[in-house]
Amino acid sequence: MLPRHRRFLGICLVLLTVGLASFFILKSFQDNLLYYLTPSEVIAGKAPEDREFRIGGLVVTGSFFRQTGSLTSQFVLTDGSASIEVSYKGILPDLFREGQGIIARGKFNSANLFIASEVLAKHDENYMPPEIHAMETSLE
Amino acid sequence: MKRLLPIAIFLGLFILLARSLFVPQMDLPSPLIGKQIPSFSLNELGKSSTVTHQDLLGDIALINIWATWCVGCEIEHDFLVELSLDQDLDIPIIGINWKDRDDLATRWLIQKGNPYSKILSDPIGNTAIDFGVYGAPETFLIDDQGIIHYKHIGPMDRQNFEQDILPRIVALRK
Amino acid sequence: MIPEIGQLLMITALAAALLQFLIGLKLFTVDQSLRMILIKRFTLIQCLSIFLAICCLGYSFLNDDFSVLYIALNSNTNLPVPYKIAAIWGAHEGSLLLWMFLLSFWGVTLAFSKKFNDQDKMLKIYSLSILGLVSLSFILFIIYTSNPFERIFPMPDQGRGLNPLLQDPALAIHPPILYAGYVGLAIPFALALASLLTPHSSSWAGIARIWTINSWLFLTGGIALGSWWAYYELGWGGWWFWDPVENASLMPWLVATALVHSLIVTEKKGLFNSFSTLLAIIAFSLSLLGTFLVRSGVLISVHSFASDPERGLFILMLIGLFTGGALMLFALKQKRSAPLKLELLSRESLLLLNNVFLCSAAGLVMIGTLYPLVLELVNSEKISVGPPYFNFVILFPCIPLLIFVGLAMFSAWNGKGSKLLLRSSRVALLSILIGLVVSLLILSYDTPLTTIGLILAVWTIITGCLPLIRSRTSSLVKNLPMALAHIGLGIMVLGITVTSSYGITFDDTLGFGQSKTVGEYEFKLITINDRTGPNYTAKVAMVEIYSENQKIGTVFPEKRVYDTTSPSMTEAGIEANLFRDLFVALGEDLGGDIWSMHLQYKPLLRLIWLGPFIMILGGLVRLFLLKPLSETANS
Repeated sequence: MLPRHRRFLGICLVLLTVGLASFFILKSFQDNLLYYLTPSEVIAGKAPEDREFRIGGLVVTGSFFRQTGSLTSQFVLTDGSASIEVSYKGILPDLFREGQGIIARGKFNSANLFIASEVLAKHDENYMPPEIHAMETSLE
Repeated sequence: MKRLLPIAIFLGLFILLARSLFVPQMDLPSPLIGKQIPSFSLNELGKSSTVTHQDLLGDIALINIWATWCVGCEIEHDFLVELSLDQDLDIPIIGINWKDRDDLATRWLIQKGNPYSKILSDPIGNTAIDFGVYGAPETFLIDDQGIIHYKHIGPMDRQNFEQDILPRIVALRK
Repeated sequence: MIPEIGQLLMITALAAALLQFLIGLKLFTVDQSLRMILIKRFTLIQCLSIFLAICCLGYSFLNDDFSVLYIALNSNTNLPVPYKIAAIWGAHEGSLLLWMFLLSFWGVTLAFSKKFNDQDKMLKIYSLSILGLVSLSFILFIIYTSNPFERIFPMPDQGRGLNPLLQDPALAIHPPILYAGYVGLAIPFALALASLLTPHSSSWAGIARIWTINSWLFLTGGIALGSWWAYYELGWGGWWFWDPVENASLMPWLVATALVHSLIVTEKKGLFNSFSTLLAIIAFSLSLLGTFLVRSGVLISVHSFASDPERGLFILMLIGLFTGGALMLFALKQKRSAPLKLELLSRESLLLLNNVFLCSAAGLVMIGTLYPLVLELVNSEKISVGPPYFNFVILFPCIPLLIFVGLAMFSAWNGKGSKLLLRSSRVALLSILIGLVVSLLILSYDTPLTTIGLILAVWTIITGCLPLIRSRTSSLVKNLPMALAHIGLGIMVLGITVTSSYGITFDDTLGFGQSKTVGEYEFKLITINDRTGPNYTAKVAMVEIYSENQKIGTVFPEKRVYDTTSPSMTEAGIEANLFRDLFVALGEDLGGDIWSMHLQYKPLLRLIWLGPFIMILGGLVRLFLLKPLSETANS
């Protein structure tokens, strides 16, 4: 084999590998993007179908409901103009509170109830009530 | 040529980072702009009289959501006092004291000066939610019909006031 | 008074850093030895000033001087003394001060290092001068945007208290360790740039390697400690979340690891000089990028941050100055190297290949971390990239990386590939055999990926041991660092594979006296009581754990409420040994004596932190036991 041929073959191999890897990476990218929406945007129909996304908003005071002894809780998220009812089975984060900003990840079920698979509380030192101390640390 | 590759990649990244800085942060678009202020009925701070949304009509005014626990409010407070003393501008500032204790709020105002023409107390935070408040401080500009024209998130200072709010006040007064 | 002295010391440090920078430039015609003496002095003055400034802040913390804004926000009179000290770096302003101190401290170690030969004087002067510029910018940053000595008037009677999340021993020491690692990368950065300015000196690689290993050690320790802290303190028993903040520390680590290996080749063989230089620049730039991402608040993260565009802008300008400037210098000054002729499977090419894999891993993490920013600019949508992306794509560079890490142990400098494959085949077969037996017979078969992970872990550990088995006793110590680092890596891979594949996690409800089964273990909630701690009150659950009807332990998960602020904090109950972790976190009171609980069984979880610990041991051996060896080699 001539050196020229060898180099050509090498380049082809490299390109093939890079191409395959990029394909998989891009695909996994597409599958794993999580949109972050506000309740108004969701109501306006921007939510992706059949795929999880995140909603950020405030928990409406007085909307939190849970049956005694049940792991499932329900509450309403709002951004001031639109609200969305959320159901979550699991343990809520320590910082979860009514009137508090949270992020819920999940999707709608057939009855148009948002089923959250994860609930995160947002905390920000300057813009949130004192219950919520920022975790501004650890280099982050 | 090959040596310039790293710097080209870096430049791309740099521009990306720089532009992302100037995209407004956590910009929950305020759907309330152009709409009437939400209805409410709150106690005045330290008094037994109640104030409703209708009492705010008739004047172009700023509504400022604040609390004593909020660092941003501490930062903007001096500017608010300055603004309230500005005779030429003469714009009433209505304070909504959010999720706070009345005694702390009163002491804060005695110590730091009171820029507000009216202070409403919203200890539970329901009205703030109706206003779509994400955190404190936030400031709304309303016209004499109670229509919200602008919302400012975070501490106000002279620079962002003159840039974003003042022109709108001038336009409204015309 | 004391805070003003602190302020003054910052200005002194600023002046010292400025002079340190200026002396290095060829602005004045000063004798070289005088220049050396002066630059050392200023490096020392700068470091001492910052140190004393930290002492001033500490003094004010201990005396509860709430007229200082930073202290009023981060301390109060009830805070235990050790946490008052940890509170010095508990928030943004103070942590930057610490960052700055560590930078100047590493600068001093470089200034007084004996590793430089006589012909390397200019290398030293230039690198110290560059460090002076770095210090100068960061002191300015502190003074203008994040002054910890700022006063407030009127003085509050009581401070706000330290964030309860931070009231934990691991977290108190975690930031300093991680910072030391980040900042340490400034030294190879400065040396790399200095080497571009002094084309005749060739010994920068050897010197830079010492400091790279140094900061690599701290980075490894800091990341492992952070992961461990997140595991037991954040409450939900995960050990890595692919949070932007974590990614910010992982990227420099990956590149620093590549840099250590690249520098070996540059030092020993004089090859890859450009590559090492570039890696040194990238590693430090990634440290700065991490700081930017965290401090500017451009990303949505679970770790929250006070977003402050002004700070972000300042850091971005610094990134522009240092990275842009350095890359420009690189483009202009880099010597044209002779075209490389490498044997395909020689040690050089294997090291190069692995560095490429490490860098692509860093690149993939970076794409996932920064992609939300791109999309936000393009169509103003807020998105985030979920952990599944990272978990998946990271395999692409990591699987070949582990294969080649093992192969490299059989390779020789400039060696031929055919011999290599022959020599390694027996060990490779053995590893595959052990991996298959373990995954199919001992554990139950899970997925092909699990089996591959097990085989690779065994392969990495065995090949890591080889240099110790084969070498004569005289060269045993010399091979020890590499062996330990690779064995540690293998152990970590083993831990990650087994935990991710065989771990069990779920949330459930438990009433008093009720029990739940997790794998082969049974968790029984006995009761829940109240407890009062020094500055908090808590609900404490008593949970007994049984295995095959034998009681193996009792854990006491807690829900704490601190006095000054009211978020409750979850303290998990963990029953652990080297082979498995049993984890219980207390959820909420659901009424009727029923509580929600988070239960998990994680086999071999400890290995994930044992691995880095062994890697660190390897690094320590290299730095402290091998010193005499490398010095004799130099002379």
